[in-house]
Amino acid sequence: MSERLKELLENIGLPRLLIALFLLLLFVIAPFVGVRVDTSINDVIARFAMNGVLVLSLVPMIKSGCGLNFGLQLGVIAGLLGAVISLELKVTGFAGFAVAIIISIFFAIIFGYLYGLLLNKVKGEEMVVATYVGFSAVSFMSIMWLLLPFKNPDMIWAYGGEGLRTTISTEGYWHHILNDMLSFQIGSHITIPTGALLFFALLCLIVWAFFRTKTGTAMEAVGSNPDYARSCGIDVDRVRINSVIFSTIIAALGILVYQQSFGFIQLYNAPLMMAFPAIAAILLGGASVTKVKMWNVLVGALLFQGILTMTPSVINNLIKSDMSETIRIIISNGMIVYALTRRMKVRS
Amino acid sequence: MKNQDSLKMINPIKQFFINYAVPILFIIMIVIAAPMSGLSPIFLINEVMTRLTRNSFLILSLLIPVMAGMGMNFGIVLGAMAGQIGLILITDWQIVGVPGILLAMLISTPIAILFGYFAGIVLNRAKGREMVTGMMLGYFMNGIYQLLVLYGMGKIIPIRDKSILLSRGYGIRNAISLDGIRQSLDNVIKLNILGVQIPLVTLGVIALNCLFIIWFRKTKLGQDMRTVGQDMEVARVAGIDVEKTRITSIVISTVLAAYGMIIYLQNIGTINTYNSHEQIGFFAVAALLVGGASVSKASIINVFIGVILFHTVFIVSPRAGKELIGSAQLGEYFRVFITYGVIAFSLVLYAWRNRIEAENERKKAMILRRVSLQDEEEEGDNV
Amino acid sequence: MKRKLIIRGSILVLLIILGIILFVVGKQHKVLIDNRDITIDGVSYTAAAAYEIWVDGEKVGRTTLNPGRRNVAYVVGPTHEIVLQEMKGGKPVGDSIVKKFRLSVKQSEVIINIPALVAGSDSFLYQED
Repeated sequence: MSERLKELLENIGLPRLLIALFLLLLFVIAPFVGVRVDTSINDVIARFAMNGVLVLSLVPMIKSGCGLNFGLQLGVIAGLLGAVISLELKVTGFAGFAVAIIISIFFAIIFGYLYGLLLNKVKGEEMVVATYVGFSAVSFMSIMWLLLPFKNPDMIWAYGGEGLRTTISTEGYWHHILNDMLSFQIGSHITIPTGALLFFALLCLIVWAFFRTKTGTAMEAVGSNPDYARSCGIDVDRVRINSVIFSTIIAALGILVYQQSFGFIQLYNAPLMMAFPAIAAILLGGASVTKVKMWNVLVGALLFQGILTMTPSVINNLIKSDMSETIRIIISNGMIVYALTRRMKVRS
Repeated sequence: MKNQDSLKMINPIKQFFINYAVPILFIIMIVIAAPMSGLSPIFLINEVMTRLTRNSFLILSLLIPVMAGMGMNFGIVLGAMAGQIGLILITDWQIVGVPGILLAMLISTPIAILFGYFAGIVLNRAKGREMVTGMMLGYFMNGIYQLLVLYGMGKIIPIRDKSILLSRGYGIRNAISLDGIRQSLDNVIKLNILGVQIPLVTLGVIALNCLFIIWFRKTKLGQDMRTVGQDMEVARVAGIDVEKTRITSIVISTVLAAYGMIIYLQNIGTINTYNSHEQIGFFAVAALLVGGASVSKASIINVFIGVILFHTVFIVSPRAGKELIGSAQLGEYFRVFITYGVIAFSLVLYAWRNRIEAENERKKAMILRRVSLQDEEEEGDNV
Repeated sequence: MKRKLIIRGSILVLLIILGIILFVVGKQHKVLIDNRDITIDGVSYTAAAAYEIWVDGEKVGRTTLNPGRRNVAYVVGPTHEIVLQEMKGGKPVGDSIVKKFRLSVKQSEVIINIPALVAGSDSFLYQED
C-alpha cells in the first residue's frame, strides 16, 4: 500500500502537492479575512480561460525537444499584429476576431519558420538564445509600433501623435467576444466565460489529437531520441521547425484570447516578460524541460492562476499590505529555477 | 578511397570576421552614427570616460565564471543587490565619503558571499543550462530582495533615517539620493586633461581588479578553474573538486559585482532601489560580448573594448535617431534593441560555431576510424 | 588545520575593527548652531552679539549669525573645531574664540549654543531629546 502511495506521490511531485495544499489553505482562510470565495472562484476561472492557451502553446516545442519556449513573445507579436491590423480594418464582432486570427496565423507561420531555423542552428542552447531573440523582437517591434503607418484614431496617440498607443482598448470591436459567448452565471458573482473555455478546450483537443497522429508521434520521437528518429528516416530539423511553427501559432491565438478577455491590446514592452508566467505554469503542472503531458497544461494553468489570484488577496488582507507583485515574482520565477535544476533524464 | 567527407573548413580570414563579428559591427555603427549625432568629440570622450570608470569593474566580475566554464554569469545581479543593500545601510547610518564607500563594500561582502554561494549551488544543479538558470535566478532573487527591502526594512530591520522610507512607514523609497558619497571615489584625485575628466583613484581601483584577475589565473585555484572550464570530467579525474571550484568562481564573481555596483552607484549618485540592478546584468553581458568575448572565452581586453564600443553606440544612437527620423524615443528603443540583439546574436554565433566544431570533431574521428579500418583490411589482405 | 582557522579568525577580527573605524571616521553629524538665549542647569545665557562662524576651516553660512538665528553645518568624523568671531557693523570685534569638540557615533544631530560657548560653559553642546 505504501509503495503505491510513494509512486503516486512521485508522479504528482512533492512541490505540486504542497502548492495544491497551499491553495486549498488559502481558499479556506479566505472568508475569515474578508475575501469572498465566490468572487475568487470567478477570478480564477476567468484567468484560467485567459491564460490557458498561452500555456498550451508550450507543448509542441517541449515534445520535439526544443525545450521551454522562452521565445514565446514571437507568437505574441504575431497575435498583436493580427489584432492591430484587424482593428485598423475596422472589423468588429466575430468577424473582427476571425480576421485577427487569420492574420495572426499568417504572421505566426512566418515567424515560427524563421525562429525554427534559428533554433536548429543552436541545438543545446535553445533556451538562452530564445530568451534574447524574444527580447530583441519585442524591442524591435517597439520601434515598429512607432513607425508603422496606422490610421485608426482608436489606436494612435491623440493630438496628432505618431505611432500606436501603449494600450488599445478592444471595446467596440471584439471585447469579451469569446467570454460572453454562451456564458452563464452561477449565483450572483460567478460568470462562466463559456466561449473562451470552449475555445481553449477545442485547441487542447486539437493538440492532443495531433500528437496521436503519425506526424505527432514522429515529433515526440524527435524529442525523446533524435538519433533514433533520424535513423528511422525522419527529417529531424524539419520536424523541429514544424513544432516551432505550431507553438508560435498557438501562442498567437493565446494572446488574442487573452486580449479579448482582458479588454486591452498591450504593445511595446508588455510582451517582454510574457514567456515566464506561461513557463512557470506548465512546470507547476508537472512538465519538465523535456517531457509534458496534456494534463500538465490544465493542472498547471489552474494552480498557477489560482495561486496568483488567491495569494495576494488573502495575504494582503491578512497583513494589510500589498505584496502581490513580489509574491508573483517569487513564485513564478522560483518554479522555473526549480524546474531547471532538476536532473534531466539521460537521453541517449 | 570512397567517402571523402569534407571537413567544413573555414578559411582563417573568414574565421576572424565571424569571431569578431559583433565588435566589427559596432565599429561600423559608430562610424556611421557618430557624425550624424552632432556631438562634439570632447563631449563624447568625456562621456565614454565616465562610462568606462563607472562600469568596468562590474564587467570585470564576469570574467572568472567564463574561465570556469559557467558561461555568462547573469547572476551578477545578485552581487549588485548585495552592493545596494550595503549602500542603503550606510546611507541610513549617515556614513559619508570614501569611508562610506569602503564600509558599504565591507558590509556587502558577507551578503554577496551568501548570495553567491546560493547561486553557485543552484547553478551546479543545472549543469549545461547555467545561463538560463542564472537569468531566472536573478529574477527570483529580485523577489527576495524586494521582500527584504520593500517590506523588511523599517519593520524587521531598523532604519533610523526615516527620510529614505516610504510614506507608509516601512520599505525603502524608489530612489535614494546618495549625496553623502556621490562621486566620492571619483573625486579623490581627478585629472583634467584638455577638458576630459579623469578620476584617477577609480581607475586605480579598476587596475587593481585587473591585476587581481591576472594574478588569480596563475594560482592553483585559477588553474583548477580553467581545467574545470575546459572539461569537467578531466578535472574530476585529476582530483579537482569540480563542484566546489564552480561555486567559488560564482562567489568571487558575486562579490566583485557587489563592489562594482557600489562604484557604479557612487558615480551616478542615486540608487533606483528597485530598478538599478535589473538592467545591470544584461548591459554588462552585452558590453562584454561586444568586446569580442564569447561564452567560453573572455579576457580583460574584451572588457575595455566592449565598454568603449557599447557605450559609444549607446550615447550616439538616440541623437542619431533624432536627426535621422526625428524621434529620440526611437533612439531609446533602439538602444534596448541593440543590447538584447547583441546578446542574441553573439549567443547564436557561439552556439553555431560550437556545433560546427563538434561536427568537425565527429567527422575527423570518423575519418580516422575509417582510415585505420582500411589499414587493417589491407593488412588482412596482405597476410 | 588549526593554523588556517586562526589566520581566518584574525582576518575576520581585523575586518570588523576596520569596519568600526570606517564607521566612526565616516559618520556624518548634523550640527545646529544656535545664537539664542538658553538656560542650562539653572544658568541663563543671553544672545548678545552677532558672530561669523567657521567649522573645521569652512565658513558656516554666508553672513553673520545674528542673535535669535540658527544655522547648520555638516561634519564628518569624531573631532572638530569651531571658531567664532564677534562682528559689529560688519567689522570684527576682539579676538576669535576657538573651541574643539568631540562627537560620538551616537550623536547624529547635535546643537551648539553660542552664548553658552562664549560664556565658557561646558554644556554648550547638547542633543535634542
